[in-house]
Amino acid sequence: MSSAVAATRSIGVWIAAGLLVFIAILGFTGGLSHQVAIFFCLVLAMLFLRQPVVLLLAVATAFTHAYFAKNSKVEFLIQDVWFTVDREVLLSIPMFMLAGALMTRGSIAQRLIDVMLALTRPIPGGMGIAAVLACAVFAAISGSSIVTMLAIGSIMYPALLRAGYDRAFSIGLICSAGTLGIMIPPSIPMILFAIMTDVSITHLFAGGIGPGLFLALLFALYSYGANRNRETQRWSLTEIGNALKRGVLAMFLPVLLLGGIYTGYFTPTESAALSLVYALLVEILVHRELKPRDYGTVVYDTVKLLGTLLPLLAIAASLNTILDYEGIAKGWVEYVKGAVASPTLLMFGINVLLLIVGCLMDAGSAILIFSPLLLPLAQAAGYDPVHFGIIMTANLEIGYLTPPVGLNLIVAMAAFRENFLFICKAVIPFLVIMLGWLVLVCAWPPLTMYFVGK
Amino acid sequence: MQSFVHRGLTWLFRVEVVIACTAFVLVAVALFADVMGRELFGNGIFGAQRFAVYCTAIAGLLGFTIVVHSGGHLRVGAVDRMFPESWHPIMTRIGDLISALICLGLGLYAIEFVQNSYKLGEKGMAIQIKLWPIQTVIPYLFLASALRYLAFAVFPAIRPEEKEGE
Repeated sequence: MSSAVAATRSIGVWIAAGLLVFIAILGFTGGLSHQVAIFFCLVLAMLFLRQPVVLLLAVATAFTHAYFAKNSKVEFLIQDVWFTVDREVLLSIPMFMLAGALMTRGSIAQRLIDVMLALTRPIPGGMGIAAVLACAVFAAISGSSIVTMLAIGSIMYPALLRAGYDRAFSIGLICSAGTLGIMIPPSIPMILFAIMTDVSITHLFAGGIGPGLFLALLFALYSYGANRNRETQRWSLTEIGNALKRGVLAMFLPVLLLGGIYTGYFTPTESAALSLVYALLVEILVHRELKPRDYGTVVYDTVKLLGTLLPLLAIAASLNTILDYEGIAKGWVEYVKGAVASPTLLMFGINVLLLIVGCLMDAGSAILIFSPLLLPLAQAAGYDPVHFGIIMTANLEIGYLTPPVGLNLIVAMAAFRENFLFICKAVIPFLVIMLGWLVLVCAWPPLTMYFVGK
Repeated sequence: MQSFVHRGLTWLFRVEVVIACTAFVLVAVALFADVMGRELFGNGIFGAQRFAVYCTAIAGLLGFTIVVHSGGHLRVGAVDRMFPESWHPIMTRIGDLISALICLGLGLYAIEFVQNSYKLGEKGMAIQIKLWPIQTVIPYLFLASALRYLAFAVFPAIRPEEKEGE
C-alpha cells in the first residue's frame, strides 16, 4: 500500500472517531436529544463495522419504533414485514427478475444485437449506435441496469474492440447504455417507487418511455459524433433479412410485455409472467442454446436477488409506515418548505442529494429509503408524483456510473477485466450527457408526461 | 469443529435453496396458470395470486439466509476505505458478531409474532388457511442468519467472499 493511501486511511480513522465523539458531545451538551445522539452513533458505528444495509435499516427502524414513535414498539416492525410481503403488488418484481435472468443467459440478446448491427452498418460509429439500440430494446424486456449491461456488453464490448473502436469509448458506452435498463420500462426501481408511494406502476412505466428513448438518442448521437470519421459499410438486405428472421421472436418480447401493460389488457404482474413463459418457450423450443442446468442457475440467481431485495423492501416499508403514522414526513415537508421558499431551489437540492445518494447506495435501497421522504417535498414544489418518480430514477441511474458504489463500474471491472480508474474516466463524457439530460427531464415535464397521458 | 460447522451450514443451505427455488417456480406456474385460465376459460384460478404471494414470501425471505451464506448482502463499502486494511479482519469479525446479535434479537421478536398469530388463529385472505406455518419463515430467516453470522465470527475461514450484487 502506498504511503498516500495509508495516510488517507489514518485520516479516515480520525474522521470516523471524530464524528462519533462530536455526536456524543452534542448529545451530552443538549445540542441533540440523547435519543437522537444515540441513534446517529449507532448507525455510524454499524456502518463502520461493515453491517449490511438491510440490518442497518432494521436497527434504525427498530430504534424508531421503540424510542421515537409515541405509540409503537419493535413487534410492529415484524408485523410490517409480514404485511409488506403479503401483497399482490410485489409479484411483478420476482417475475421481471426471473425473465431478465433467463434472457441474459439465453441467446435473445445476441439476436437483438444482430438486428441492430445489420441496420446501422452505413452510419459512422454504427456499431456504437447498435450497442445503444440493443441496450434500449433489451431494456424494454429487462428491468435492471446490470442485467442489460452484461447481456449486451458481454457481446458488444469485444466486438467494438475487434472493430477498432477506442477502448475508453467502448467501455464508457457499454456502462452508460446499460443504465437504460432502469429507465426504459419495465424497471424494478420504478416498481419499488410505486410500492413505496402508491403511484401507479403503469403510469411510471409510461413516464419512463420518453426520457429513456431521449437518452438513447443522445448516446447514439454521441457515438456518431465521436466516430464520424470511421469507415462505413453498405446495407445488405440479405443480412438484414436474416437478422430479422433470426431475431423476430426476440423483437416480439417487448411488444408483448409493454403492449399488454399499456393497453390495459394485462397487469404488470401478468405481463411479466407471460413474457417469462414466452421467453422460456422460445429458448426451449426455438433457440435451444440453454442447457437444463442453466435453468436451475437462472432460478437460483434470481432467488438470491429476491433475497437481497425483499427483506430490504419489507423493513423500509415499516420505517415508512411509522414515519407516516407519527406525522414525521408531514413535519419534515413543512420544515423544509419553511426553510426553502423557492421550488426550483428545492428541486435543485433534492437532485443534488439524490446524486450524492446514488454515489453511495444502490438504486433499490435508495428508492426504498428516500422516496417516501422526498415525494411530499416534490409535490409541495408542484411536481406530479409520476414525474418525480422518473426524476428520482434518472438521478439514481446516474449513480450507477459514479464511484465509489457505481454498480455498473464495479460489475464492468469484473466482467470486462478493465481497471476501475480507467472505467471511471471512460464514463465521464457520458456522465456529462446524462447530467444535461437530467436537467431536461426535471425542467420539461412533457418529456415524461406525454406517454402518461396526464 | 470448523469443518463440522461448515458442513452443517452447507447442508442447511442446500435445503434452503431447494425450498426457495421450488417456491419461486411455483410463483411463475401459479401466475401463468391464472392468466391462461382467464384467457381460455373466462375465469382465473381461485386463489392463484394469493398462493403466488405466499410462495414469493417464502422464496424471498428464505433468500435472505441464502444471500447471507453466499456473502451477497448489499453494504456501503465506501466506508471501508476509511480504515487501514490490517484492521479489516478484526472489524469483520466484530461486525459478524453484531450481525448475529441483531438477527437473534429480531428472531426473538419474530417468534413472538408467530406465536400471537397461532393463538389468534389468523387466516389468509381468499385462501382460508392458517397463516402461522407460512409466517414461520420470518423467525427462521433471522435465527438461521444469526447462526451463520455467529459461525463466521468464530470461524472466519468459512466466511464467504463478499460479492457485489444489484
